Formats: sequence, C-alpha cells, structure tokens
Amino acid sequence: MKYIDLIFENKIIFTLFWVILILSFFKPWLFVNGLLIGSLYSLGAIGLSLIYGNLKFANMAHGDFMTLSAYVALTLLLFFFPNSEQSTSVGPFTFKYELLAVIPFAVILIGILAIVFDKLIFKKLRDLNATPAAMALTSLGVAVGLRGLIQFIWGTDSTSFPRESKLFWDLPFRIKIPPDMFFCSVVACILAFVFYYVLFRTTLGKAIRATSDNPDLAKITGINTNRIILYIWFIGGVLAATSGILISVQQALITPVMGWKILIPLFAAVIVGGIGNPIGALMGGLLIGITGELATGWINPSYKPAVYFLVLLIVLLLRPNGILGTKGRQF
Amino acid sequence: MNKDNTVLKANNISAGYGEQIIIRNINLNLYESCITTIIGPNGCGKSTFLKSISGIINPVEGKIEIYDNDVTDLNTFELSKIGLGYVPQSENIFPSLSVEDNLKMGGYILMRDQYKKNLEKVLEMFPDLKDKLSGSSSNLSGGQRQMLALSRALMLDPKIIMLDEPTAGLSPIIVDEVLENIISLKKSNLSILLVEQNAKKALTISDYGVVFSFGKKIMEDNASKILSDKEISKLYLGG
Repeated sequence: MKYIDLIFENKIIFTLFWVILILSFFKPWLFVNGLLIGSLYSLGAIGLSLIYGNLKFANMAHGDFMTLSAYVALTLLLFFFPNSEQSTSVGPFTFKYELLAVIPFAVILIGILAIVFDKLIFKKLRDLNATPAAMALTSLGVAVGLRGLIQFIWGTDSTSFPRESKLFWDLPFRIKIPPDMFFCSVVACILAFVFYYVLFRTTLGKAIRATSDNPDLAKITGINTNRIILYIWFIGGVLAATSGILISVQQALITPVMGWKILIPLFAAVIVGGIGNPIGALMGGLLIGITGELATGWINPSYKPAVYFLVLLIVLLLRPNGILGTKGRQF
Repeated sequence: MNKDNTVLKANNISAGYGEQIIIRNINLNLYESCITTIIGPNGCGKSTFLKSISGIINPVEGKIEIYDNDVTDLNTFELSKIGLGYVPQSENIFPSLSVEDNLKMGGYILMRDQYKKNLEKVLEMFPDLKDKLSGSSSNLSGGQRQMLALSRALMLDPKIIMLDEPTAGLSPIIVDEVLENIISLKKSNLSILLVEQNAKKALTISDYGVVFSFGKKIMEDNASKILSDKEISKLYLGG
C-alpha cells in the first residue's frame, strides 16, 4: 500500500501517473509492450541496484556481463547440441528446448565469473579503501575489457539463438504480443519475486540487508561480510546473466554492444527507483519500460533514451533520492 | 575485583585511521566479572581504542590477548565468535530490519535451537522489546535502540562486552535504566569495558577506571579512587 500511497502523495508523480494512464488508453498495445520490456529491464536493474546498495559503486560492467551471458549460452548450446537448429521449438515460442537446458549452466557460470572478478579486482580495491568513483571507473575498465574479449572470441557480427518463426498473439485492443516476450517477462517476474523472497524472508537476505545498512556492525554481529559480498556478486551476476539471455531471446539478436546499450535504461531505472533499493529498481524498470514504449507512439523510437532521461529528470527533481530512495539508506 | 582473572589484555596498542595515529602505546587489562570504564575528553581516543580491540580498525602496533590467546590478527566476526561483544556509540542497530531481525542478525552464527534459547534469555532481560519484535527498529526511541543494540550484542552470549557511550543522548531516567542494565550484565558474569562521557555515573557503577588524554593512558586505578581524586575530578568529572 505504501507504494500506491507514494504515487498520490506527490502532485507531479501523480500527474506523470495520469499521463501514462491516458496515453495507454489511446495506445494500449504500447503500454503492454512497455510493461513486458520493463520487466526485463527490472531484472537487470535489480542486480545493478543490489551491487550498488552493498558495495556503494555503480558497476559499469553489469551490461557487459549481460552480453557475455548471451554468448556463453549460445556457445554451450552449439557445443552440447550442435543440431539444435533442426530441432523443434518450445510450444508457441521461437526458441528451442535445448536453450532451456543450457540457460541454468550459463547463468551459474556468469555468477561464478562475477565472484572471480571480485576476488581478482574489486576485493583488492576494497582492501585499499578505494573510493566509489575509483571502483566505478575500474568497472568501466572491466566493461571495456570484457567487450573487447567478446569481440575477440565471437567476432563483431550480430548473431542469435537458433529459432523458428512464430506468430504473435492477437489480443483485443490491437494488442499483439510476441510469445517470447511474454515468456521472458514471466521468467523475469518469477525471478524478481524469488529475489524479493530471498532478500526479505531468508536469513541470508537479511544478512545482505544488514551488510548494506552497516558493514562494520554486520561484522561485529558475527556476519562474515566477505562471504556476503561473494553472495552479492553471485546473485548480481545471475540476475545480469538471466536478464541478458532473456533480452537476447526477446530481441532475437546477440551483439557485442547489446549490454552496453542497455546500461542507459538500467541506470535510469535504478536511479528513478532509488539507488540501492531493489524494489525501487523493479518499479523504476517498469516505469522506464512503459514510458519508453509509450513515447514511440508519438515520437521517433530513436529518441527513446531521451525519454528515459526526461523521466529521470522529472523524478529526481521531485524526489532527489528516487521513488523509494531514502537518504543514506539502502534496501 | 579479582585481578588474577584477566580476560582481556591489550599490550602496547597504537592505532588510528590511515596515516593518522590516534592512540599510542595503550596497555589495559580487563578482569572477569568487572566493569572497567574509560573516561577522558572528546577526541582522546576512547572509541578508537574499542574499535582497535574489536578489529574494526587494525592496530599498527601491539598485541591483544583474550583468555591468553593472541587475537590481534583475528577478523571482527571471528572475535565475536570467541566471545567478544561490542556495541558502538552510534548506528548500532540495522534500521532497515525489524527488531526481531536485528536480534536474528545478532545470533546469525547460532544454530536454530541455540538461537531460540538465547532469544528467550535476552527478552527476559529486556522485556520491553517483546511487544516490539515485529516492528521496524527505526521507529524505536533512543533508549529502546540502546536496549536493542545491547540485546543484539548479547545474542552470542559473549564473555566480554564493550559498550561505547551507551547513554549518549538519553534522558536522565533512561540513563539510569541503561546503567542498571549494565550492572545486571556484570552480575551475570560478563566482563564489561565501558566508554562513557557521563563519567561520574559510569565510575560509580564500575570496579575499575582508566583515564585517557590525547591518545594516551594517563591513569588507571580502582573506580572509587578515581572518583575521589581531586585533580581528575576537576579535569574530567566536572568538578
């Protein structure tokens, strides 16, 4: 209820809410598309927000972890199932059964890789008491390095998972939904729910929130914060990887720069929702997804990033800490 | 006071933040079931000393022993496992968690049965928290926060507890209540290291007193003797 109250407590957020509602009335298919795309953004944004909330820096490599996950999943698919091009696709979806089999492995691999990167780079910086700016710049270096590695290994051309063309679902009010997009959004929503459950209902989640609140106090209470940080990297990596794979399934496209490009809406979602607050990231992702898609009904789609920033600007002018952000407090 | 039973020995501790050394060559012993209070002006290094003992900051020099075991290089969370509890002066609860979850974090490393047992024990000691378990810890009053912070530290059943200004910012009635709690902790065989601005009251309930000034220990004696020392009284106890 407090999230709904929040919409009504501020006049301009309330106006923004009504503008979205009215625009959606004219072009409901764009609203539905935005909602589905927004759920994918949310998943990526939650991972980004989790790392920011605990490690206090903007991880610029998050997008490239997403890209890497798509390439790793594709490589695993082609290695273990070289004939997957000829196999049948899953029900009304364009992707093959074999992809579903390799996704968990790709996701776990990226989670482990995120831990390795922490051990090799970010842990050392933390031990040197590096500033958040230095950490963010280092992550930018990791991002550029990862992208270079991806281009070196897989080339610069775009590719995609083996697929079979399928019809869109025709719904009332001219709403047409690609089945893949629906599938990806459902998976994203389930994962967001699981993440919420882990964070707010399990002892591990509470330890993560405690570490985010006050790392020194967490250590004093007997929490091994170094281990908690590894869990955070793993969960962040898993969320980035899942989001990356789902986006490449939904767009039927894998390119070396896809993660980098998506970083703009992801950061917009994280900041709009309230930096470090995963529920805020979820709300921010949906808001950015919906407004971006709705805008394409009236303006050229290439201006979408400008719409993200406009929404960001409006929200920050009204709530400088984001929709659910509270000064000096995460989670 | 039984000086034969030393539970904690800090030998020649120097510590600070980065390049800046705040405390120099501090020696301090803590005795079983005793309250030792460190007094001194603001900025003399009392809190820094507690932080260096708890492992929040690493001493640049010196040795810390707990029950004759060298613990100088142990991490903060490892120290809590071996029975060292610490309640910092401020930000001593997790504001985003409920009261119950704060206590759960206090017993994070405990098995479920032991956790339940310790929770019951702590709630018996601080019954006011019972009604507030499901509420947000950020809604607690100053006194209740201190109670929660103390309860959280007691969840691991520590042998030694260090309290950094537990009465800071509290009303006089609540100050007395907190000091009563500290006395009852002593009665349950805990060794207590107390840092207090409210020096007179703290020394009144203490067995032993230590005076810090400009990062150095300038005096240590029985609390009653420090209380009756005219010069100390004039300089640090408000006359």
